[in-house]
Amino acid sequence: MRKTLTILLIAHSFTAYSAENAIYMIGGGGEPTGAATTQFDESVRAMGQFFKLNKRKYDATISFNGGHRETEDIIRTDWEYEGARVNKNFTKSNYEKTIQEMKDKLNKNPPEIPENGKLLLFINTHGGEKSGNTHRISLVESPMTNMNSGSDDMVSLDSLQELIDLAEAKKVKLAIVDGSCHSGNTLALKGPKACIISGSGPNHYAYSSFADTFAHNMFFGRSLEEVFQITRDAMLGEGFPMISTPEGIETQDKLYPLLTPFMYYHDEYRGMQLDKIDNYLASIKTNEMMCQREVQYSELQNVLTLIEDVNTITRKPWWSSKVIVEKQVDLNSLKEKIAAYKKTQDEYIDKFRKLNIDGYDKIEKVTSTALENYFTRREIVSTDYDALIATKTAELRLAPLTEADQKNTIRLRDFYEEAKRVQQRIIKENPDYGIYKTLVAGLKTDEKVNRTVASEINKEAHIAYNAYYKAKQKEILSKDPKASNPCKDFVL
Amino acid sequence: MLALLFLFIGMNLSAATKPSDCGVYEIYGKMTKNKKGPGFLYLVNQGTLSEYKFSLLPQHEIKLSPYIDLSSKIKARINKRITGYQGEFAAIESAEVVAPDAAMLTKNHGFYLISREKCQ
Repeated sequence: MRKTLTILLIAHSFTAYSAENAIYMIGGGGEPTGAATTQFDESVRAMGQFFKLNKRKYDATISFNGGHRETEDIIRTDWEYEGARVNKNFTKSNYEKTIQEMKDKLNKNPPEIPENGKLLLFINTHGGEKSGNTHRISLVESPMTNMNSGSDDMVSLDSLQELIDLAEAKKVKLAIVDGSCHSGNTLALKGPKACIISGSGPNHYAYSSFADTFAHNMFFGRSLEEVFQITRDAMLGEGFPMISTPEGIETQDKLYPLLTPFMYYHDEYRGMQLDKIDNYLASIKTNEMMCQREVQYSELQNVLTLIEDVNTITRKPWWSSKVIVEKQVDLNSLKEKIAAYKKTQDEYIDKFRKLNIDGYDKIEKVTSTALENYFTRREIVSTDYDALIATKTAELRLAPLTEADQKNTIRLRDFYEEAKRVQQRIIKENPDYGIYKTLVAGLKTDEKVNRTVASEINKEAHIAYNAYYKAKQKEILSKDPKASNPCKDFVL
Repeated sequence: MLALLFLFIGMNLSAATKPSDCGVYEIYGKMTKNKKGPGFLYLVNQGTLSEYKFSLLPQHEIKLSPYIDLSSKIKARINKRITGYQGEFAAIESAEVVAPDAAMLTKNHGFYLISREKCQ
C-alpha cells in the first residue's frame, strides 16, 4: 500500500506540472565579435539554473547570442543538456520563430499552456531608444555602434503586442522581463493582464546588474513582483527599473519624469559614447523650457518631501510631554545631491544658452594658390592648423625631400596657412563657435556630469521609489486586502 | 575539410578586411603622421598583421585634415588593384568621425565595398 502510494505520488509529481508553464530566454545580441564571452552571460547561467531546478514545472526555450564560445558553452551545459530547446543564434528569423513558437503553444488544441498556466519571456540584450511603440533590441548580426539609437538590423518589440493579446484571450499568465537599455519603453505594450518588467526607464541605459540579479533571485514560490523588489534593492549600477503593477505605474509616473535629467550622465563604453547629458543641456534653449525645468525641480522636491512625510511617525512617550517625530525615510541626502547636480547643469545650460551657433554646419571654401577644398565651419573650427603648419615647416627643414615632395609640402603649408586665416575670420565673425567647441569638449571630461554623479542619485532615488511603492501597496491593500496584480499573481 | 575551412575563413576576411576589387569603398581607419617620411598616411586595421597604409595625395590630405588621429569612416575610390598592404586613393568623397574600434570588436573597421569598378 505504502509502495503504491509512493509510486502514485511520484507519478503525480511528474504529470501534474508537465508543460503547463514555459520560460523563453532571448537576446545576447549586439556584442563584439571575436570575444569568448558576452556581458549577458551571468543572466543566461542564472536563468539556466532556475530551469534546472524547476524542470518539472517549466518547459524552456532559448535563442541567445551566437559566436561567443563561453556563452555557447553555458547554453549547452545549463540549457540544452537539461532538456531545453535551443533556437541557435539570436538572428531575426530565430527571434520571429521563437515568438511564433510561444504563440503556437497557446493556440494548440488543447493548448500546451492551459488556462492559468505561466509563460515567461526573459530578454537580455542591447536596446535602443524609443522606436515605434516600444523600442528595438540587438540581434547577433547587429553589433552596437551607437548606444542611444542602436544599430541597423535590430528588431522591434512592438510585435510582442500580439503575444500579449493572445495570452490574455487564452487566460494564460504572461510576463515579459526586458533587461536591455531603454527597456522602460517595453511598458508601453498594452496588457492589463500581463506583467511587464524593465531594467531601465525609457530614456536611460540599463548599465547595471539588474538582469543578472533578477535571474538569480528567481526562486520557486516567489512572485515576480517580489523578485522585482528584491532585485531593485540589491542591484548595482544605473537604470531605473520599472514594473507594470498599479503601484509601479503610479510610482514611476510620479518620480521618473522629474528625476530623468538628474540620472543623465556622460561615460564611454567600448569606445562608444554613453551620453545623455550633452544633448539635454544644449537643448534647454528657451525661457519656457527653463521655466518648465524649474517647475519640475520644485515638484520633485515636493514629491520627495511628501514621501518623507507619509513615512514619518510621531509618538509621545509616557515619560515625556514632548512628541517625538521619527523619519522612517530620510531623503535629505538625495535632495542635496540633486540640488548640487542641478546647479552644475544650470551653469552649463546658462553657458549654452548664451551661445549663438547658427550656421555652424555651413559650408566654406578654402582656396590657396594650388589647392582648394570645401569644409563645414565645424570642421574648420575644430582643426589645429598651427600644428599642421608646424609639421609642414619641420618637414621642409628636417627631412631630405625629393623635389616633388618639397613642392607638395610647400603647397600644403600654404593651404593650411590660408585655412588658418579662414578659421580666424569665422571665429571673429562668430566668437561663440570656439566657446561652443571648448564647452562640448569640456563636458566629456567634467567629473561633475559623469556616471558617478548620476549613479549616486540613482542609488538614493531607489529609496524614494521603494518608499512610494510600499506606501501605495499599503493603500491598495487597505482598501482591498485581496487586491492583486499580474506580477503578484505570477508566482514562480 | 581543411580546404573548406580555409575557403570559409578567406571568404569572411574578404568581406570586411581586404580591398580585393577596385571601386568605391566605405573604409574605417585613421589619418596619422607618416613616421618614415613627409605627410600623412591613412591606416586601416592599424596595429594588426593586416594593417593597410594608404599614402595621401595633397588634395586628400587637406580633405582629411580635420580628422587627424581620429577614428574615421571615409568613402573613397580605389582604382588600382592593391598589392600587399600599401595603396593610394583615387578620390575621397566624404569623411566623418566614428567610434574607435582598436580591438576590431564592432563593424567599425576594415573595408566595405559599395560599388565595384574596373581597375585601371
